[in-house]
Amino acid sequence: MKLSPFCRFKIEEESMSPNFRHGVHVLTFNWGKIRVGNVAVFADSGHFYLKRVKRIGKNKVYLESDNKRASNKMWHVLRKNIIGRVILKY
Amino acid sequence: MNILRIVDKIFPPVIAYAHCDVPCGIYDSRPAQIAAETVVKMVEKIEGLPKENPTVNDRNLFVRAVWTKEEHARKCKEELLILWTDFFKSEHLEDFPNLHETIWRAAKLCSKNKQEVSMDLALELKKAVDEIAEMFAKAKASSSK
Repeated sequence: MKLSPFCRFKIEEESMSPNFRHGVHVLTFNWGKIRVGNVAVFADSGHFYLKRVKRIGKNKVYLESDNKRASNKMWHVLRKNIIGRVILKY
Repeated sequence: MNILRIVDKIFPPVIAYAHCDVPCGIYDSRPAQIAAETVVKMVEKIEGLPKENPTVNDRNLFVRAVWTKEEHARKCKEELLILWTDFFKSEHLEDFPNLHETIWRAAKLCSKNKQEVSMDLALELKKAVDEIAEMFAKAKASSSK
């Protein structure tokens, strides 16, 4: 997937609402740098997830949900598991 | 419909979960049911208090029961909204075509029970929440097959 500069995803569930609601589609750009505040798609245990970048460490990226009522969990993933950052919602 | 959506129809996009967990699947209708049952119990207590010459303890109980009713009606609505927005999916509408209407009605009843002291309304809320719990149980059972 990272070989492609762009990927399309359909979002399920509501922990990134109101910015990204269930059913919305997003386009990611996979070749650029990830920055704090970006919304990114990452891979984990065979699934893909959409979260917002909170902090960037040496080898890890820390992400969290926008909808804190749905989830307070902080994700930390290896940089290589970040697919790309969202550039378009449609 | 924009061009990307047309592309998505031909080449469906991958699903990305905007959820707290794997998905975790950790949902439960019992907290909403317990909250609704508590509302019923509090209305019972409030209605059982003497209407004339209440003692200080009666007034104390009245305040506490009203506060507890308020808090649990709020909690009930919160739990229902979590089930509605996070657990139930569009495919569940095939099995439960009145899903949205039922949850909307129950959420409205949560507010009504905050505004009023009425056993009829409290029991109506409990019945609506039990209906939702039944849908939840069936949906959960069919998804684990």
